[in-house]
Amino acid sequence: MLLDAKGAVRADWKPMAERIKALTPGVLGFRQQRAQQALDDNGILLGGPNEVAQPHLWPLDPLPFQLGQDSFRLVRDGMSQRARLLNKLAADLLGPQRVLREKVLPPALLFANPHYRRAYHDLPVGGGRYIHLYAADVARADDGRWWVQGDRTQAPSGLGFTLENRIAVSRVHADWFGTMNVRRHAGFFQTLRQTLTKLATNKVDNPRIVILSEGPTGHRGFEDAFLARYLGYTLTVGQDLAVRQGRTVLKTLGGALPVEVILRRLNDDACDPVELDSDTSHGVAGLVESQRLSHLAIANMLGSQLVEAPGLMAFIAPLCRFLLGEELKLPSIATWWCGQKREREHVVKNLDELYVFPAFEAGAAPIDPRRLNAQQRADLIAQIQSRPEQFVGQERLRRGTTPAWSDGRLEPWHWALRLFAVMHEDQYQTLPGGLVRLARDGAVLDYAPTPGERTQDCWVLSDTPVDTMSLLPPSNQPLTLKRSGAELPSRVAENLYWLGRSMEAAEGRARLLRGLIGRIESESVWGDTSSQDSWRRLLSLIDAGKSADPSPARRIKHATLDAPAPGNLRHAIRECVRLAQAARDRISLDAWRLVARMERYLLRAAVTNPADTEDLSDIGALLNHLVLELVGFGGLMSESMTRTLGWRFLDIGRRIERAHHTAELLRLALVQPGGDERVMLETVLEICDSSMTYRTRYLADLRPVPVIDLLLTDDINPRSIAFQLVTLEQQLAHLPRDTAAGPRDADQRGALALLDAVRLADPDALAQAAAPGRRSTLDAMLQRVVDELPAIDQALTARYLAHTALPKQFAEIDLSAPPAPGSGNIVGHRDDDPQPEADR
Amino acid sequence: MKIDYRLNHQTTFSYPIPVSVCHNIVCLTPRTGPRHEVRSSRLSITPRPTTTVRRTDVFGNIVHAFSIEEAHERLEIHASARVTVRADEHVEAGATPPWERLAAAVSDQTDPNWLEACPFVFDSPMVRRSEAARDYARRVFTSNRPVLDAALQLTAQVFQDFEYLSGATHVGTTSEDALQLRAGVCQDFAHVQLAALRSIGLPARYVSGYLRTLPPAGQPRLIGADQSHAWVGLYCGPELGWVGLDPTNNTRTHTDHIPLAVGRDYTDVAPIRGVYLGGGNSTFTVHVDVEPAEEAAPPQKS
Repeated sequence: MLLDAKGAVRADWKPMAERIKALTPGVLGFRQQRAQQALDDNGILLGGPNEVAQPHLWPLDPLPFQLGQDSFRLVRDGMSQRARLLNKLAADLLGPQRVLREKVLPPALLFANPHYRRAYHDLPVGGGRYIHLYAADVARADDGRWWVQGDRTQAPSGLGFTLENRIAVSRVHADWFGTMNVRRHAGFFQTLRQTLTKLATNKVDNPRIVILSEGPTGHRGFEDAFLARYLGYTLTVGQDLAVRQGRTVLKTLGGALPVEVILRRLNDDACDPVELDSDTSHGVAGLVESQRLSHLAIANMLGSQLVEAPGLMAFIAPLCRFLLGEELKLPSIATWWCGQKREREHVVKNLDELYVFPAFEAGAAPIDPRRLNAQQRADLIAQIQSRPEQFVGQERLRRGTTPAWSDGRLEPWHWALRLFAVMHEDQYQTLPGGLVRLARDGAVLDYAPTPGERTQDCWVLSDTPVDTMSLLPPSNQPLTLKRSGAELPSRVAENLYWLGRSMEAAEGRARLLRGLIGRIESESVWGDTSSQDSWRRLLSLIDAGKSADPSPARRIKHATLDAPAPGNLRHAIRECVRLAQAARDRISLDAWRLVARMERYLLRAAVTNPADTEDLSDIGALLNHLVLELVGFGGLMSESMTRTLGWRFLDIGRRIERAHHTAELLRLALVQPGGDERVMLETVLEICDSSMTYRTRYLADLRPVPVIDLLLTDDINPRSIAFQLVTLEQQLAHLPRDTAAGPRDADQRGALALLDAVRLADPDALAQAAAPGRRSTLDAMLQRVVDELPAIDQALTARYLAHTALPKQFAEIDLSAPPAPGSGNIVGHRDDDPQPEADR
Repeated sequence: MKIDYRLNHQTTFSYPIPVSVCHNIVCLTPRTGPRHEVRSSRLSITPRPTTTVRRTDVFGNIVHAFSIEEAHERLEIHASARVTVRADEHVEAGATPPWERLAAAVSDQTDPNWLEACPFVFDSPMVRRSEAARDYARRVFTSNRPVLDAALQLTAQVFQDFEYLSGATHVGTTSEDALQLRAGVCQDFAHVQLAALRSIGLPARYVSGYLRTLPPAGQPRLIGADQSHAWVGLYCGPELGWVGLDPTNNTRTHTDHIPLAVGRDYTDVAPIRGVYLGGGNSTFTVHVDVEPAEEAAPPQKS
């Protein structure tokens, strides 16, 4: 692609080629690292839900992909036409069905589609608009012709990745980007916002638009969060929404708020368990009805899925003539639908030249007949013969190549491009760019759901200076100033609460491990029989006493580096990553980067450190580093988050967790003093980050009473239990409550009672050993803290977070399988089962 | 001959824990068809729904969607109707067209009703065409046999081969599973026959409805002991239209069969579907009463 037939640099590529040539050697490699770093920090995670933990990062090629102006004009017009066509086709198939009546399209392409549902008919569709956002996978064959390989009409993915690539690449090539008139993406997203705003049926000025996502664990989780933040919409999952009195509402801590428009990222089937797929766990019960009552607009419209079927690609050209009266501009790749006899025979006869796809699953992996053995091949043919309308054969494309940066030089790699178009009035606007996937072997790109081996940002150059508007800083439209944060979905509050707890658990654990390492070299501690019990007890905190390993060093090492398991350090960090990801549209990008980086550090350390040696040299440094990062993360949270309810829940989580683990630490360390207690007191102060304060107050005179005071009852030490309870009590007082002044709620009463008890405790009495070698009063006090915090947690959960529990209602009413307690789903009932005595 | 019926179909759900919200769709209101006339119908729901919407779906069925947003421990859905059913004119099964010609007329789009028949030719969520189902049909659908003649024999074949056994299947059993089991209830009998008919290219649809039952001689009719029922509608060409076949009772449908709704299979016409929050282990009871204005015919299975 770089060179033309005569071996000269193609005109499209000249500006870029000159710039690459002008770079000092090594700069491109450096820019690649920086771009990759930007993506890593934002944590683009590919693959399924289980890959969140082992970040599998998407390699970004530093070179932008060049889409020449002529090519772009061609695909732009083709995309716009195709989107209009598919939109009209959806409206026709679910309405008058002229294409069937007039025999332009075989009816099997609608009725044999396993996703066809009667509920899609007769929905109120404003202006016949089904497809607001359209995507197509296109390719240019090595002869230079453009082909569409697949259409996406239900909830096209890839926009978030496209944006992310653009941001990373435009930053590292700021010099090129600024001088090459690269067409911007912001206009496209501006149009998307306008289109969605206009969808609101009640024509309010500022409709509430939400993104309905599968959640952070779905493969689109990253994109959904990214789009939500970029477009300024609330990111929701099915549990956040409900249908009440026919209206779709967003469940927030501040009450139910009406939703006017949903940009859905779910498949059509999954949107409503009542009328669509009853097994869905992502949908909203009653959503279809709410849509039918015209209280809600959904983009793309329910039923849009039906027109992305690969089987339709064989009929696109005649459909275009019939529905639009136009010749098709951007053709589909040659497709043979096996529902027709001649086409079926062609596919079976030429099997090895083709890919076979399911006729109704866009984005499904192709069957490559060349890779089948004789038996599998015979089975495939038998399947095609017995259920022909479910299969298509598709031509294999010889893909063109584009320069990629590989091992310090340019190499020709094969490419695939996903383009996007957004509805604008009755036309479509095509994004000047797209998501480019690259692979050395072109066939890799045919497996649509896999990403290829690399990605590139796609640049469309303009002859004239481009409009440099960006959506990244808020646009200049006048907006009503807002300060409230009541629009917090209860589920997000819950995630933030647990994020606070996990952060604090990770920090507490890292500090404990670090404190113990400091004592490990000191043989006297472990050898001194009078105090070693206390140390063993403390050690049991790091692995719940489960380890039988006689070596404290190895136990510490395992507790630091072992694969995540409940209660260990890596688990706590992973929970932080998971929860931060779930709340990614609520926390700052820096905070997300920090937490993602911590997990990478730990992972790397676990790989490079043999766990079974007693060498702790690296571990100490690692923990130091980790504590710093965690403190930084905590600092970001307290300095960068607005004091909304979300922040309060995060802080409440931190306070509860810190009070809890401090109480546990003090119990194990101080209740049964043995031998010379000074080393233990010093360690505890260090773990609780209070050595400095202690020394300022008491110099080097280590005694139990002032230590107990500083860590338990002193409410101005931010590490003390009393301080946590004071803060907790204050935060709880700011949560939304029933306005009528009444008695305090259970969570507030619990926190207040505990705070009073701790404040009133006398450090002298606590430090007294009633029985020999046992501080029972201290024990009782700390035990109370450990016991009563969970009750506060439960009261809080019941009051604010309980309704975020996963819906469990999807069991059938059937005698052999009674619905799960709590809720249920009447998928259907049958009269015969409960009345066996009836005459049949 | 025609018979007037009063239909009463009462479903009661009881929940040990209150249900806070439920969303439901019900398909319990009959609509007038070529051989029956709905004189009146009524659907009452207790407690009073927060929202109710009535609509006609793409197959012409009357569907109600409702939600209840007040806490309730009991949900009663009472559907009643007055329906007049006319007997079919007698049709000589042997005089109907060969089944291959009928299947071809639909697939070639030469039959005047091909578009209406099309949704019922392919797979649907619970009915899947298969080789086994095709072989099962081809035992009686021999070459050039008149379609209704063969279909009646298929009905008899299902009736003989399958055991009516409550509990052998459940509400989600597919035609493939039922075909293997050789047992089930009316829903399964209908699904198996649909799979067989569709596997050889004939348009066949699922009909939900009621069957009048008669008490044993000398005993009074028990109120509320009737059943809702399901059978098969086979498209037999433009003259005959859709003909009802009841494999559970090995008969063509007569004046004892009162249709309620049609769909591709059970999932399209389930009497009640829904989602509720709270509730615990719910129980439900169903009372169906089919009260004829005049008497006829011997008792039958539903």
